[in-house]
Amino acid sequence: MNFIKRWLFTTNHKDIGTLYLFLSLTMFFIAGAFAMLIRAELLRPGALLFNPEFYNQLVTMHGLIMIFGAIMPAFVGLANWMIPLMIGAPDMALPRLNNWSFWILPFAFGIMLSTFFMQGSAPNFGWTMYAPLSTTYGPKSTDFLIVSIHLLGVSSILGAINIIATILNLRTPGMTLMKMPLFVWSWLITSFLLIAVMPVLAGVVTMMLFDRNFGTSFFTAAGGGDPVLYQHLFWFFGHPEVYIMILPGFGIISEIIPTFARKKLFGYTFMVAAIASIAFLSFVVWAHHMFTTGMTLSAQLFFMYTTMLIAVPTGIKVFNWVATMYKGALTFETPMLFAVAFVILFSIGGFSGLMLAIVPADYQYQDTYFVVAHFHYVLVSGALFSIMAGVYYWLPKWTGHYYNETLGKIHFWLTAIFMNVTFFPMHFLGLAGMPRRIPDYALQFTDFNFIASIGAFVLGFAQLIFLYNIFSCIWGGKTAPVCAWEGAQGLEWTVPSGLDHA
Amino acid sequence: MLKKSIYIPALVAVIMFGFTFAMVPVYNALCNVTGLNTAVPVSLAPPDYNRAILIQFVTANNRNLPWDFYPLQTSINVHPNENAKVFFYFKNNSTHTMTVQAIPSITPGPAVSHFHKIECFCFQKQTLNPGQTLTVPLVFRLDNDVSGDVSTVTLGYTLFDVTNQKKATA
Repeated sequence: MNFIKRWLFTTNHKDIGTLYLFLSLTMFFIAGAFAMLIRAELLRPGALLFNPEFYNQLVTMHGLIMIFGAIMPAFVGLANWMIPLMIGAPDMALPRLNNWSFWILPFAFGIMLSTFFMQGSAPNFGWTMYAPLSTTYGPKSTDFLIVSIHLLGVSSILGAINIIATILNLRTPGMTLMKMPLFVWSWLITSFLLIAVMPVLAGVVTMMLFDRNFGTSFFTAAGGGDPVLYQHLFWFFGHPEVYIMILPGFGIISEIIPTFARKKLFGYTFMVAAIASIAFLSFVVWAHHMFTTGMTLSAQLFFMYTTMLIAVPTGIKVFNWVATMYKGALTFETPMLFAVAFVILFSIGGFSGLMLAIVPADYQYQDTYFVVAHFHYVLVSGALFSIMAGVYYWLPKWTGHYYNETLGKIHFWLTAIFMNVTFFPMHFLGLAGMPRRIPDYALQFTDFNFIASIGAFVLGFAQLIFLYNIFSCIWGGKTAPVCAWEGAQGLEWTVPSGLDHA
Repeated sequence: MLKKSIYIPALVAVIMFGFTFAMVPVYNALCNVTGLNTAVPVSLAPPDYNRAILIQFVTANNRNLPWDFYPLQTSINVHPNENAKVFFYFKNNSTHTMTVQAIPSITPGPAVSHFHKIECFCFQKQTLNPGQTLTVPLVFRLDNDVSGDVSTVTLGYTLFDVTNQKKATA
C-alpha cells in the first residue's frame, strides 16, 4: 500500500521521471513485439500467420505506440530527471501538475490497447489516421483511439508548460539562457513545438469524432468537405512532431560527445541557433508529405525548397559534433558508442530525407518501403539511439551504480549492426517498388524481406540485454562516484546520485 | 514571472486548438483563390476555332452504390470559349428511394481554373425512387486562357450516397 501511495501521489521530479521511463520501456517492448509479428508475417511471401486485417491493426498500433508511448515519454522522463539537476533547481516548477501529466498516460494507453479486444477490430488505417479510412470506413474502436489521443495531448501540453515554467523560472543564479546545457535548450524549444502542435492534433481528431458521430462533413466530399484538408491539418501537426521526437535527442548527443571527447562542445551558439531554426522551419514544410495529392506547382516548389533548407541547420549540428570529436581524447564507453552511431546513422536518414524532398523523385518513392527505411533511420538510429545513449550515460546518476560495461557494449554492437541489417534492405525494396503497409508482396522482394526479418528478430531480442542491464544496475553493481564520467561537465555531476536524494 | 510562463503557453495551446478549426474556412478560401475544387466565372470572349481540346468523362460509384451512372458520350472535342452540352444517365437500382450527390474532379491541374460549368447536375442532389431513371445535362465551356500544353482534359465524377445525411440534417 505504501508502495502504491508513494508512486501514485509522488510529486518528486526524479520519481516522475522514473515512472515516465518505465512506461516508455514497457511500451517499447509492446510495440516492439508488434514489429516482430509484422516482420514474421513478411518473412516469406504469402499469408503466413494472420489475415490482412490484423496485419493492418498491428502496423497502426506499432506506429502509434512507438511514437506516443515509447519515444515521447522517454524524452519527457529524461527531461523530468535531468532538467532540474542541470539547471540547479530543487524540483519542477509545478510538481503536482507533473504527477497528473504522467498518470494520464497509463490510462490513455490502456484505452488505446483495449481496442484490440473490441468487437470489429482495432484501428487499422495506419498511424496517420487518414480520412476517409478513419471516418467513413473506420472501425467502432476508432472513437476510443480518439479519446486516447485527446488524453495524450493533454498530458503532453501540461508537461510542456511545466518544462517551460521550470526552465524560465528556476535556473540557478548566474545561469543565463546562453549558459544552459544544450539538453535544456533543446527541451525548451521542443516544449514550444509541443504546445503549438498538440492542440492541432487534438482539433483534427475532434473533427474526425464529429464526422464519425455527429453528421458533420469536415472530411467528407459528399457533404462539401475535403479529405485532403485532413492531410493538411494532420501534417501541420505531424511534421513538427517528428522534430519533437528528435530535438531532445540532439540535446542528449550534445551532452555526451563533449564528455567522452574531453573537449568543450564546438560552436555552442550555432548549436542553439540550429535547433531554433529547425523548429521554425518545421512549421513551413508539412505538405512535403502530400506531394502526390494534386497541389499546385508553386506550392510543390515552395515545400520542396523549405524542406531542403532544413538540411542546413541539421548539417551545422552534424559538423559541430564531428568538430567536437576532432583531436579530442576520445574513449568509447557505451553512451559514446551510441552517440557516434547516432551521428553516422542519423545522417543516412537525413540523406534519404533529402531524396524524398525532391518532388519528382518523391512521386516514385511515395508510399514505398523507401519511406519506411527513411523514417526508421531517423527514429531508430536517431531518436531511439539518443535515448539509449542518454540512459546509459545517466544510469550511474539515477541509480548510484555503474551498469555492466561489457553487456552494454554487446547490446550496442548487436543493436547497431542489426538495425542496419533490418532497415538498409528496405531502401532497395522501396526503390524497386514495394509498397508500404501490405501483408504480402511480389516474389522478387523475397530475399531482401528475409534479410530484413532476420535482422529485426536479432535487433528485437538484443533489447532484452538492455532490459537486463538496466535492472541489474538498479539492484546493484559497482558504486559510481558523484561525477561518474571523467570528462563530464555540468551541474548534474555535482550532486549525489540516486532516487533517495530528493 | 512564473504565472506568466504558465498562462502564456496555456493560451498558445488554446489558440492553436481554435486555429485548427479556423483552417477549415481558410482552406476553402484558398482553394477558391487557387481554383482547386471550384468553378470560376465565365468570360465572354468569342470562341477560338483554331484550337480543339478533347474533354473525357469518367464516372465512378462510391462504396458499391447500387446506381447506374454514366455519360451518354465518353468524350467530346471543344473549342475554347464555346459552350458544350453532354448528358449523364442516372438509374436507381436499389429497392428504396435514395439521394445522391456527384462530386467532380478535373485533371490536369492547370486546366481546373479554366473549366467553367454553366449548368451541372452536380450543383444539387438527385433523389430517385427505386428503378427510376434520369438523364440530365452538363453545360460547360473551357476559356481561352487555358495553357497551350493542355490538349486533353478529364472530368471525373464520383457518386456519393447522401440519403442518410439528408435525414440527419433535416
